[in-house]
Amino acid sequence: MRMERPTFSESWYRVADLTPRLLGAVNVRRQHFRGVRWYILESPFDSRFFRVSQSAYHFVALLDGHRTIHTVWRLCMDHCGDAAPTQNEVIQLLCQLYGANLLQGNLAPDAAALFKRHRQRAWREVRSTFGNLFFVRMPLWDPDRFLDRWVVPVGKLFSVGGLFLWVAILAAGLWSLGGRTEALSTRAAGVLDPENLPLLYAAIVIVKLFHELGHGFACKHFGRIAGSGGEVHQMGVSFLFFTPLPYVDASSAWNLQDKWHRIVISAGGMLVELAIAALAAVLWAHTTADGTLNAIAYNIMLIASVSSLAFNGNPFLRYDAYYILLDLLEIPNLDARSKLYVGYLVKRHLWGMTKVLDPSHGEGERGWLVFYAIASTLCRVLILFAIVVVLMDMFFSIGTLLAGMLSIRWVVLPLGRFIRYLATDRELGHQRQRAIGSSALAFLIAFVALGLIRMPDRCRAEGVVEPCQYAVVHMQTAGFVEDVLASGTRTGPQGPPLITATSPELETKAKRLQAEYRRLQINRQAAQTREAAATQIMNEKIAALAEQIQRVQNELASLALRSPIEGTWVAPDADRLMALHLDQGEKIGVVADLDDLRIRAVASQEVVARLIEDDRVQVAIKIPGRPDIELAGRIDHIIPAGQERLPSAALGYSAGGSTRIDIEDPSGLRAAEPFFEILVVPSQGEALTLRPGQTTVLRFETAPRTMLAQGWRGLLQLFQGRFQG
Amino acid sequence: MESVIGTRWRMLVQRPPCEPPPQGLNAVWHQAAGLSRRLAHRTCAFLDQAEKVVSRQAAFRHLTDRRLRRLMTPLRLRFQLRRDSQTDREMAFAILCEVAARTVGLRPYREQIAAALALEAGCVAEMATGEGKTLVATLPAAVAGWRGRGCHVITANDYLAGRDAELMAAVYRFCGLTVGCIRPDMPPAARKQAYNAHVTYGTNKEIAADFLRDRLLKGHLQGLPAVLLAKMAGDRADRVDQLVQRGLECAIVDEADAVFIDEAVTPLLISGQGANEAQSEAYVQAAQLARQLDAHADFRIDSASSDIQLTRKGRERLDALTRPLGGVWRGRRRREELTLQALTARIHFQRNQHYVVQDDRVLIVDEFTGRLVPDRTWRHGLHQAIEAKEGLTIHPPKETQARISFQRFFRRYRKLGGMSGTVAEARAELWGIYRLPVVTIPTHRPCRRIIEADRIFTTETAKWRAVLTAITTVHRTGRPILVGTGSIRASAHLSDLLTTHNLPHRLLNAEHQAEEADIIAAAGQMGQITVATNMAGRGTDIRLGPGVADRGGLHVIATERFEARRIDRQLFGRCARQGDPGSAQAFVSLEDELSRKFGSRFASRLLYRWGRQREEISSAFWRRRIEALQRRAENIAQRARREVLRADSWFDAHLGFAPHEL
Repeated sequence: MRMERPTFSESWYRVADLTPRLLGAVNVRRQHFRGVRWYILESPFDSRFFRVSQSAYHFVALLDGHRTIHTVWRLCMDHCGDAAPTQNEVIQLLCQLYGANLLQGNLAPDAAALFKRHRQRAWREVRSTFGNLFFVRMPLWDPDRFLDRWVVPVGKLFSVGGLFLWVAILAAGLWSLGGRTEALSTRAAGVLDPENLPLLYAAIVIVKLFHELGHGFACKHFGRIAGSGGEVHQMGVSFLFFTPLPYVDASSAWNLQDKWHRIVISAGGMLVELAIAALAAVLWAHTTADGTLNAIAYNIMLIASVSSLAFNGNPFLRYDAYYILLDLLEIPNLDARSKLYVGYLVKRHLWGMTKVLDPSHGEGERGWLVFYAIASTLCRVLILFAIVVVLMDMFFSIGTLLAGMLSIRWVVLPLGRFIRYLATDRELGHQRQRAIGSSALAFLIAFVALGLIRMPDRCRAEGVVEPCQYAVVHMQTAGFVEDVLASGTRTGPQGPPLITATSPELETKAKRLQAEYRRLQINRQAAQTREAAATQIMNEKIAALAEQIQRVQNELASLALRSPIEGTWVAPDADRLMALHLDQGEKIGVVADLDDLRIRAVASQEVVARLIEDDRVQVAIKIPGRPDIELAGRIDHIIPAGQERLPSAALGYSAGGSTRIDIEDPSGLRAAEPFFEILVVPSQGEALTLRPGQTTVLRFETAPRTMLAQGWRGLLQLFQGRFQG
Repeated sequence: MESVIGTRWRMLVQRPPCEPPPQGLNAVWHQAAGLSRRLAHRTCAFLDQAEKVVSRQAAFRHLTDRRLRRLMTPLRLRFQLRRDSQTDREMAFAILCEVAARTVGLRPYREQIAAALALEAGCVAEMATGEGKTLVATLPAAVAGWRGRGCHVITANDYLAGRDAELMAAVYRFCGLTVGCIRPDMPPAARKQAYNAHVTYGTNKEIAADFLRDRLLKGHLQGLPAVLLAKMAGDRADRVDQLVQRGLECAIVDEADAVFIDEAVTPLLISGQGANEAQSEAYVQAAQLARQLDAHADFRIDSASSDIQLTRKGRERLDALTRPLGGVWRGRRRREELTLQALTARIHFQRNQHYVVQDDRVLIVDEFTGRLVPDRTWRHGLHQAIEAKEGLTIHPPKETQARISFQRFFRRYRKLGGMSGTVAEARAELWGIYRLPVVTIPTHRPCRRIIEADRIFTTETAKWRAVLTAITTVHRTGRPILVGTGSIRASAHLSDLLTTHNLPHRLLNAEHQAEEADIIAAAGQMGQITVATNMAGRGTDIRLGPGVADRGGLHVIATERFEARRIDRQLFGRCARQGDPGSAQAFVSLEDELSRKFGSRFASRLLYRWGRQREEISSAFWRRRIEALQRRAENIAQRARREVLRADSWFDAHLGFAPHEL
């Protein structure tokens, strides 16, 4: 027979006759969570906290060193009935208390066991440090006395006046930022530049130091108000992703009864950071753009606002906002219990285990627990993934190491633990087959989804629109512009002239040549009568002159330029050309066939390799800024050789494109790595929406492949690229 | 009797609590070490060594008894001083063989000597049944006796302990050793004397219980320093003189599988009379309530785990019924607990199957042996619930005072050896928990046992019918038959069937305790039919009557497959001993305990329906399926045993403020 909470325990005899009691120095406090009373026991030696339920505390409090455990248990049973702890629960509770050195027994303690326990604990700490290398803590200093000295003046800030001051500072900061968003964003691009990194790090350290002092002072202050508690005994360096940063241990805030006090303590760091950010914003706005002070102010502002809100302000990571949320919801230990609860739901409803204990306390918590478990897992995975990707991009080896460690910690170990649980845990009992079956099914579904169902395989490239046929119109004869055809007019070889110019010099020359011609003709007539030989010479002269005249006439005619091809006349400067003198060869404009456009895209080798493999690539053309438009197209031609000059500066990094360009090239046209050009022709009739010179994003869709295959290829390309580079 | 009082301190400096079983990578390493030992072929080494011992014996054959004794003296001294060499050991075994031949007329043959050497080396020797394990145990026990720190020879039951001690006493006497035997009804003084003998025979339960009682006696005076200090302070030191044991030094376990594996699931408890908690009334009320609830509507029984669960309607009903009662019935948890207990008593515990009522008391019937166990009670009020169900006086529950699991107890011996007929399946576990490698000793003569293929039936009725036919057929040939059943109930059922069919037979069950060994011993006579539970009469040889061997020897029928393949083999091992002919066959039905308890519910329902068309479904498919079920049952049992040990370790690690269990 098995019960949910059997009253009796086989091992009861081992504790029944003992007369332990709580250590005198244990600090006990009452707290309410969601209307339920709990007791917080604080270990006096290492400020660790234990939360016990009312009935459990009732039991512990009755232990006075004279009554035996069995007597006390009977008393509890009589007094609390069902709520009283069962024998097993009593044993568990005693073990926990003893493990935390909160219990004083009537036996001489077993010295060997004590040492063994100490060794185990030390080993556990070492292990957890190695298991979690990204969040190592190193206590350095006890700031309690320092905080004591300053808490009275600083504590005044935690008041209504302080709040107003804070709001005022924030407002000032926002005010000075007003209208400077552009400057803000241009600077943001350079934040991760190597030369800015030391400054950035210095800013982080300074800001975090104040942040931690914010927690420390808040904790001290409210401890002082409450009359006790609020000790802050640990400050040191924590290595967050190997970056040393200050931290302070304000866990004694747990002891405070007013949850709003606890919330302010948790929020203390962020409040300070935001104030610093505001002050830095004012400083940044009032210094010149090139000074070091300006750079520092900018970095501080960025760190104190963005990092503070993204990390400390994110309740799904275990930073400040998590503790704020926890106090707001009054669900202590939210993170661990949310996972327990989800596990319980799976066990109970999916696996049909009827004897698992519900870890939630009451209806109101459940929704939160489920929500938090899902949201926090997603959020953490996302953030870690982002960090890994960024780090891999910047420092490949460290990033890879990190990714390996994270995947062991987040995938391999939990999976191993899960399999072991399924295989050996006694709790599963008769539900084991069902549990294994449903887990296997879940994995199968995931595998089918990832490994068998083919998903569209897409890649992207940027390109510029250009006409297939176009002619650049140059001035053929120098002259003064008289008339220019309006830009945008459709024209052709038979159409009106594009530009009409006059050249007085040429006209004069033409007249002079005409006169000469006439003179020569008269001379010839005269010669015919006199000597035949001279006539021959005259004829040749006249022919030469006629040719010269013809040339000048042609030049004159070309002052009225006509389009060489059918198309649209594009001359952005047309209006400005009027009455100007243009030299021969000067560019006036372009005649382009706008009905027949194509896109010249720039793509890396990885993309091109995939396009070459597949001959039925679907191309979608998207125009940045116009999410509603999506055009179809086809690949016309891939220009094979590696190119280095971009077709347009708009595709380069410096002009907002996605291709990295050679930093030393001032024109912004030389790409850092060779690329391929892909010519894409939009399908018929769709070209109308495109304009030459426009940047577009092309999405190539090759034959669908499974997610697994796509991911694997991406990983291979990543590594291959790194090892060759 | 030689004085060994001086070794009392050894009990007190007993090693600190043994280490918990290895975990994680250590466990992997440990397993690898065990595997390597298994792979290294040790059997040959022992057999070679045994050959040497056999050849040494020739030198002693012509010596007089006195000369032989004189030879022993320096040898014994060397053993006592721990200066014994390999040659000394070979010599000692050779002398002991000679002594055995002279005193009890049995000269150990090569295989027996090899097994004895394996025991001496701290292994479990797997020997086929009937190979003379009693004699084998004597050799290393005598050597351990010479070492002078005591040796416990542990047997499966009290009868065997007494018999073996008596049988082999002459050997020990010749070697200048004393023998003691622990009987259940011995007073402490006699026990102390028995433990002080050089070699002590006893059952695992008695010896472990004495160990626990000693522990209770010592109380907080754990360890030698504490006792010495107390003695100096003149305080309670006389208690120490009442200790009966003198430390756990060396143990040789007969029927190692039963002791190390089967009995390891339930820890041994020492309990005393608890305070009367004045709840007798509640038990009676619970029994009345349980009678008012009906199955399906108010509660459900899980067929696999045989758990009883109240339905929602049942809860409401209970609530309504108990409202006027008050007292303990006010709390929901306690109320349901009491009711479920009463229901368990009503449904799962049957009179004369699980217990017997004698003199206004409920006596538990041992599930395996079918014996009455007067001092055992069920825990946590179940016993009281059964008393209430039977309308007897409610005796207050006993309280546990000390407890030890056999795993932990045997791990405390400095040197451990074991023998068994069927232990190969439990190899990994023996190594994992007790660090005992298993050595398989070949049989002296080739085995002539014929094991016929299992016959499988859909229903139990069909199975019994077939068993009856089989018995009749074999009985006609005049061969003796031993029918092994899984429970007393099944034995009784078969006995009834046999009686109605006019087949004379003898039944081995709780009421025939005293004659058990005689019945088993006589089971080999011509035309004899014996019905027994599979555990009954272990350790007793079934010798074939005159003329039986010519007709094909003993025929063994197993009426079900048991929860471990080992137990099947034990039963089958009762026939065809020492080169005799014999045959065995198992009859299985899909309604047997094994399929009911371990078959997956869905699959069994499906197969049952499908197989219902025919009565007999004997085929390779079904045999494999039954075997798979058996393997599953073994795994579950093994997990349960591991859990016992793990729970112990957990307590040691976490309950530092309580006195250590060991």
